[in-house]
Amino acid sequence: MPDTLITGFFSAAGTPLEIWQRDPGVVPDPDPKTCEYIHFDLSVENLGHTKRYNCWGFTFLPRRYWLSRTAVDTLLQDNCDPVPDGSVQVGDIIRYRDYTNTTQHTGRVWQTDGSGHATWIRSKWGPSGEYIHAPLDVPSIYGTNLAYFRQKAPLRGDAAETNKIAELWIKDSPTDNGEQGVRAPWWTSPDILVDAFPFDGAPDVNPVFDHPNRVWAVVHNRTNQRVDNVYVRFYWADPAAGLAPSSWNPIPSSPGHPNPVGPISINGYSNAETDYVEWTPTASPAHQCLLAIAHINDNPQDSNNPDPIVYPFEIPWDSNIAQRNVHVMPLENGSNGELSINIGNPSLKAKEVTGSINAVLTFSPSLPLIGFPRDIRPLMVSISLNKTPGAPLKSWDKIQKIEGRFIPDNLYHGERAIAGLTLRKLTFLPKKPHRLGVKITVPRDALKGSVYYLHIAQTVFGMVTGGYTVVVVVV
Amino acid sequence: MSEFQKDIERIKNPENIRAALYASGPTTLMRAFERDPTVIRLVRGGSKVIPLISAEISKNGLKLDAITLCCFAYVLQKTDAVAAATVLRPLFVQAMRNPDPFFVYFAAHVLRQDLKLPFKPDDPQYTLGELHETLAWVERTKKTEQRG
Repeated sequence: MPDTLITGFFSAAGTPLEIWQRDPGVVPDPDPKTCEYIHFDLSVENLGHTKRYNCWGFTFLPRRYWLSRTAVDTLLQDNCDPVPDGSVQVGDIIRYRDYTNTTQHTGRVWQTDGSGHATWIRSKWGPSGEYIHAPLDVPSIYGTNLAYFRQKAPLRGDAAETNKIAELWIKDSPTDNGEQGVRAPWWTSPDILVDAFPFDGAPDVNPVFDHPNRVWAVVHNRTNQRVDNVYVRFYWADPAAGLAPSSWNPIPSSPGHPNPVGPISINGYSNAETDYVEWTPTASPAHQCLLAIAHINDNPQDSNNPDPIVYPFEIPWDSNIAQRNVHVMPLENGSNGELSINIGNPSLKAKEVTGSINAVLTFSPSLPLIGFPRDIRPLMVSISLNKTPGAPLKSWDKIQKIEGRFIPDNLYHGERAIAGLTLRKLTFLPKKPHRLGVKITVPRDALKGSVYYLHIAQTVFGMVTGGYTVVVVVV
Repeated sequence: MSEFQKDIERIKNPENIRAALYASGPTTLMRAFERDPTVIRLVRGGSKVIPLISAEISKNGLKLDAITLCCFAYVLQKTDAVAAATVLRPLFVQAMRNPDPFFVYFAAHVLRQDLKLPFKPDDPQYTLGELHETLAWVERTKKTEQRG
């Protein structure tokens, strides 16, 4: 296949971008650090060596095309803001320049330390493979002059065309702005909706068991071009923080309500609601988790897919994917509530990983406009691991810093941290999840209408790899 | 077979320029050439290398791998920029009919130096407009030469 220049792609400022369609052939990459793609059926594909996309194509039009450096310098200027080292977030762009101050390479920040410095990068090395590597563990031709950027706008297409470029997005949390690397709690999607039996067409806070529930999603399109043939695939899982791709179960299709739902069309800068699937949870745990994946197809080699899935099952990484692990518990003053969740191995392949569990209790006044009361009455929360005696959360004043990036600044608007707990150095094994028991007592003098959030997050290698949020409403 | 001829044969397989396989554009590729021992040896060969590369280009032209062609253009330019322009001019015109993300840039880099068009010695990345400008100048010069 000859190299072909393709047109119709623009920066946010409307500058045409120089983009090449090249030989899409793939040669398997024997390098053990090469990246893989996990299909919906959980089969794993070696992304291999390919001329189809280069580092710049990986960064800005993932896995579709080979971009010219002129396009990248334009995009860094028009679609991105510089980020100082020390404020770097997962999903930010790293730019490599050489001794002539010429851009030679880009990638995405895959992991940071607790101080806003990149520790791992994901990038494509020319026509060679896609790798996860330390920032300076790259071919020397890329240079050592590093800078970081945060993408603030997607690429644009020709508004007269359709299906050439799209940016599908299901919100990961109420504060998600659509960019990669959304921070915790990314398991609290407001765009995955449940209408519990009996149906009234309006979303409910919790599903009901042993009855059908209607589950649907709102899907946004962040670019200016209409996209057709969008499908959304729905999954459920037992209540857990730290879910491997294999932990997710597709919701079975029912007559007239197939899963995946679709196809739907979404206009540019617009959103659409999907049809619903019927989900009848029957398992005993009090609440279950939901996952939605918006997609056009499941082929990572399809250059014509206007918005390929790049990181399947990587919820915070891919704007097409969202998770809803939210359990709302209405409790009266002086009453107790209990629940248990699993904390499993989030990896499909790793035999064991080591990490920690962070719990943060926050308070939100029922009417944020009136501000916080002077004396917040904290819930009494204790957490037990694998039936050991429960440990109470400590007051937030005693916890100045929680391990990893799960800090309350990242939470919902209007929340204030009041207590927390960290369980460190836990080993997570496949199919042998830890059982986390949570006991909640509402003080007798708690204000009615107050809302408390208990965010439970799993952290592995400094990254939040899963979470579960319990919302306690004092009634 | 001379040592230089062996080096040229070696370059004909781009996998022998290890870092070249990590290049996402012509400037990154130039950095790979700058530090590759085979390429450095050819550049040091000076005038002895020019006829060997010219013969290889005459024989195989655009059938050679794009990275190999870029490497030949780099070596020729470093050795004798005027001779490089003479060898690459017809190939550039031919390549611009179906451009690629590497060779047309290296060839334009050589020709822009020869034509005294704006060029940055360390950076063979040009815009599409600059590539077409180079082509227009090459064709204009060709007509002038024919008339003269």
